[in-house]
Amino acid sequence: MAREVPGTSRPRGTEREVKLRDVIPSRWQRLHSGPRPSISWLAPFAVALAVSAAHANGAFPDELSVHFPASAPHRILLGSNFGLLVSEDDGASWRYACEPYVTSGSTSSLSPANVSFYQITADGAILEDSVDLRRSADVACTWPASSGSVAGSVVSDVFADPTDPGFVLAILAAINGSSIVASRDGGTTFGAPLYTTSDLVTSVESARSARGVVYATKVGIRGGATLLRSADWGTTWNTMATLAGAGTQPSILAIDPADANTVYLRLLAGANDSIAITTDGGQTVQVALTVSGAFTSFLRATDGALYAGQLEGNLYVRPAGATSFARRSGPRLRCLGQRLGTSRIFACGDMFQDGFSLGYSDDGGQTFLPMMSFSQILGLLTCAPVQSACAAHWERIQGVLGIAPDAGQPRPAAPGGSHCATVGGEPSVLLVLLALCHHFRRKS
Amino acid sequence: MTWNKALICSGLIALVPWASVHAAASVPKATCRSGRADRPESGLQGMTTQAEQDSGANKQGFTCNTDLVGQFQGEGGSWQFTAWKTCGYFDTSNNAAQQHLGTLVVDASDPSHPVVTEYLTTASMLDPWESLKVHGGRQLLAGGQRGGPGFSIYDISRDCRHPVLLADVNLPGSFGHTGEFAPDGKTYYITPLRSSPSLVAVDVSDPSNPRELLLWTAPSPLNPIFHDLEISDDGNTGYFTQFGGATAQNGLLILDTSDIQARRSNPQIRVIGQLSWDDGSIGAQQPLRVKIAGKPYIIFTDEGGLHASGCAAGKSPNGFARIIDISDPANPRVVSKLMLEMNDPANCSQTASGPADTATGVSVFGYSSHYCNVDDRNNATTAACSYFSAGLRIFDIHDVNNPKEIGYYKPPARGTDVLPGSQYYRFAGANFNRPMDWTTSRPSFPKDRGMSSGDIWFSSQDNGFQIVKLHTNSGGCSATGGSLAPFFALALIPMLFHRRRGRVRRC
Repeated sequence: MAREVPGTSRPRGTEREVKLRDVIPSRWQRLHSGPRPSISWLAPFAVALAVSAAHANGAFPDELSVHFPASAPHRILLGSNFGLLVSEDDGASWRYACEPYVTSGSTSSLSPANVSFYQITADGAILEDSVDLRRSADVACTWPASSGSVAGSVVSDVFADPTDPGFVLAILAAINGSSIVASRDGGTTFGAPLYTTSDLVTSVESARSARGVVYATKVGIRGGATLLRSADWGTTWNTMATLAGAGTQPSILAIDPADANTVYLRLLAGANDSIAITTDGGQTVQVALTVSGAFTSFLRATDGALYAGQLEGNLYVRPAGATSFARRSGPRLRCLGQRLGTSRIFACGDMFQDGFSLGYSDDGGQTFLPMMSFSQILGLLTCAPVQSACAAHWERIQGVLGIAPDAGQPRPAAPGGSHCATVGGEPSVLLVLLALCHHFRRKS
Repeated sequence: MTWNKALICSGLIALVPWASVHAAASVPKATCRSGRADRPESGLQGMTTQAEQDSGANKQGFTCNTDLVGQFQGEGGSWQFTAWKTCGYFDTSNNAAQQHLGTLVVDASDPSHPVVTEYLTTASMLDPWESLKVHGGRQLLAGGQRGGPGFSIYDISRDCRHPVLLADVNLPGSFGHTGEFAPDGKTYYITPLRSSPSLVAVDVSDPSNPRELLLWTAPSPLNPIFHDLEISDDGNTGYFTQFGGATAQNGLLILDTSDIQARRSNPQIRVIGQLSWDDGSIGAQQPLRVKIAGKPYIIFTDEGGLHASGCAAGKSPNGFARIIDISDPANPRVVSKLMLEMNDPANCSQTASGPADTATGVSVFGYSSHYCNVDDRNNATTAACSYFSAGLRIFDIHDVNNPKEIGYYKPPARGTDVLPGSQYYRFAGANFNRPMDWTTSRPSFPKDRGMSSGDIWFSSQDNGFQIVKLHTNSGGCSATGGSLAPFFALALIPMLFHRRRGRVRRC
């Protein structure tokens, strides 16, 4: 993924909205550059969905992003609109931490706040942005809020350095402009602004292949998009190429993992979306692809190929060494991703229309096979805080997803290790959970 | 109205004010004109039946005490409509397939032949979503860019047909979705419908130089996700819709915005009152501030419902409008509901499993409400509300406790017509046979657009801009009947208990 080279799960500048109409399934989501439904909406429509599941006419859970922590070679994280899903066995089984708990520590079955995005640090810590920026150092079991300059601020973007686990960049928006701040402790605390402008900084990202190289995009109050570059971890900045005129929202898709002078940019303008590329550190920029509608996903694959997807089921591919993109049919893409150094491509799809929530391709995106659907979620993460806080949510989401009520029983940890405490596995807890599930099932 | 009818009406008005709130009942249906003057619905109030779809009647649309005066369909419309003087403004879906992108300016000087005069194409006006609003006093048109930082403001004072761009700016931290001017026209509030920020206050005192005043995120445990809003006349109180689900997280939030109004440094926002409900109507949309008989109310719309699961719980399957007494802003209370039969849990057997709730394109919004407006904010007697698939519904709200429907205009279904500017078309897909239209915009009454006479203007997604004449002398109880109520109340008690609801509705 872009923020976790070599792939990106979702183009920058794709702000998500919470909206009832965003929560309707994929047909509706074609309208949105980044629909961000909330499970608090999904649940009410679960029954409608069940009634007419073939048409997916109600609202349903959806994916935001996929992540592959370098520190855990078998772990996959899937950001969704109802929580963060975790697999410790390369996608064979999945558990989750619910969004109400992730965003606010709430035990409610409905979330009053929604995650805008997830990010992963180089050592596997997880960052989420909703009302607050929060950080989990224990694979989604606990989510303390980050402190320092981000506290109480509107955080519009976060990027965790791909090599330095301590270095995390964030963009803060304020009434008089925006600023870039940095954390040196992996997102726990953030310091004073490194860069402040009366313009809007729209994205920021640091390079894998050249330590300390950071790019940012900004757009003027009255328009005009610009690329910025720093070679000293954001301490000083140079204004590089002008990216576009008024009306264009620029953002960074990815810095090439092998070449810090190559940056993939997104230029969203009106009803069109473009991918632009600089190969000289931002001195010049060329538009490589323009499409109608909006991109939802981008991947710079290990072999150098580029992939860009849309909700409409368009997958644009530029093979390594090629100079142009070719369009092919693909899943209704919400995200693309790849574990560094491997060849398998992961894609978030439409659970009903594509047949999977997370799929994969071993043939360069020619075909995608199902890896997981939300209905296969085993239950909550087994650590005690999540088991306790998310019980009501799990009860609710089972109905949404049509999961058998006993599916939430923790099972023996898969190879790769359990990441949380195992309180949930105690027989007494299981019995209580079963009884609760049965009780609520009967009520419903 | 005959004397007997007036007698019965007034008695009922006197005796059943409690029922509208305490019982989940739909508003009385309008009595449509006789003969061929109307094309009334054949099923439940608001419903387009399967038979109507099969016969093609839905392609003609449905009317009750209304006539279409004029229309400019264009390539279809998006969510919002606003108007000033002889001009209407409606947005489109920002679909690359459109021949003309942007917000349409329509000259309706000749109401029977509205014509487009401009397409506004700043980043904000390409897709202002629900934020497209006019401030009549200052004659400004403004909107925020959906999902982005853009904000545009136009002068429409010289010639409403040709808005003059005053400013097109990017506002840090702003994500456009909905928005509204303060009544003095000096502040525009953007509500991004996000967890953070909840609102963006913009100083537009100098509309050529909009300046952000505040990015504010509602603190826990408040639901920080705000939808549309309105501000009190003095600017010191804000009425916000808290967009939530099936629980108390959905409803009205009343905030003290005086620090913003006074331009105090480090402005603070304080909670004054809050109200929520659990009747199946969810997805808070709009808080319309009105006075009825001198008393302040909010006409509040929800844009979603619980569908079959709502029915299973004895609640409404759709969202609907309601009238909230805000005389005591710390303790707002619902006084009545503008619930259609399609929203009434009593009709779930006909609605939850019928064509309305399957793959006929109604989808999650169903027959829910979206935006309302009134004939006169300071003395409202008639409300018109967009109700998605149920079209434009018009209510007599003289008696705030007992509103009743007096007419409707349900635009024709457009089937598979190619309308790339329509959000519904984009949602449904090119090959989908759309069996109804989606009516979603805020209607406009003459006074609302600075005129002394005229008809109701609105836009729907597949039919664009429409002008509809309401014939008010047909159907419904007159207000005068109410004054007779005390004299006949006792005599009518036995009758009331024996009357079937359908007969009551004929009143």
